[in-house]
Amino acid sequence: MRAEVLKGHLDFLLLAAISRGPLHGYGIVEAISERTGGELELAEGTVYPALYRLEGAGLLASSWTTAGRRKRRVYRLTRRGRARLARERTEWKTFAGVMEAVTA
Amino acid sequence: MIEPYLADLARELKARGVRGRSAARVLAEARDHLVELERAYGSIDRFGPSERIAREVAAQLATTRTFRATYAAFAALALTAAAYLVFFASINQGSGSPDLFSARHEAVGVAVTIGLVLFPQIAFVAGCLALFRALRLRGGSAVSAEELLVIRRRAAVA
Repeated sequence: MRAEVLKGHLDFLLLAAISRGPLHGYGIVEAISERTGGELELAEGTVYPALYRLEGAGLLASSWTTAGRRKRRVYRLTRRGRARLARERTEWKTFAGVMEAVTA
Repeated sequence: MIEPYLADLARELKARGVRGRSAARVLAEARDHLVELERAYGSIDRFGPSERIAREVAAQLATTRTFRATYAAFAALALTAAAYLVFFASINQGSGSPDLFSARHEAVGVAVTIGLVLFPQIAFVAGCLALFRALRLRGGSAVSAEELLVIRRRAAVA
């Protein structure tokens, strides 16, 4: 699936990926890839500006941990992030239902 | 493979004004990701071109910084407005309304009056316009440099 298809949905995907527990950047990309069977192609570095935006909006919080001798930034959902994710899920289900009804 | 990429990314970030702790954070996260990528796939190509990552990071950080500065400017404006109100209320309760036109130098009195009346209104309007624009644009992806410039100018006037 082309990267353009992701536009407008990346924030939703990131929030959903992190909803199952705290993850670092690479872990988030892997989680999305696993759940989509590798169908979504994205330049993996571009998730970081999106993560910074979501953190700035108060939807994510992050903290440093270590992986071996490397520093690792781990992201988790805030209460506002969980509320936003629930809203996005509802809107997506409605949208997907409408599209299915029209295009099927 | 990783070190040259990180050196490129550091150079691209610096060229776009991302320095200090912000740059260190981006580079640390990139290093962690690249090490994992290389281990899993034997290549770091999936991370994307350093120029593109730096451009998107810089745009996002500039957006966040501008919005925060705008909110801070508006908060300072609100505090100043409150201080103004308290100041004038205390004058009225004390020795009565100040008659600036009866100052020893009338021109100074007129200038001070204009300043007291006009400048706060300009600041208030500019601050509100900056705040409304920032609120309208928040939550989306990185804002264009032109939009950020408009917000920064209005906040600066405020």
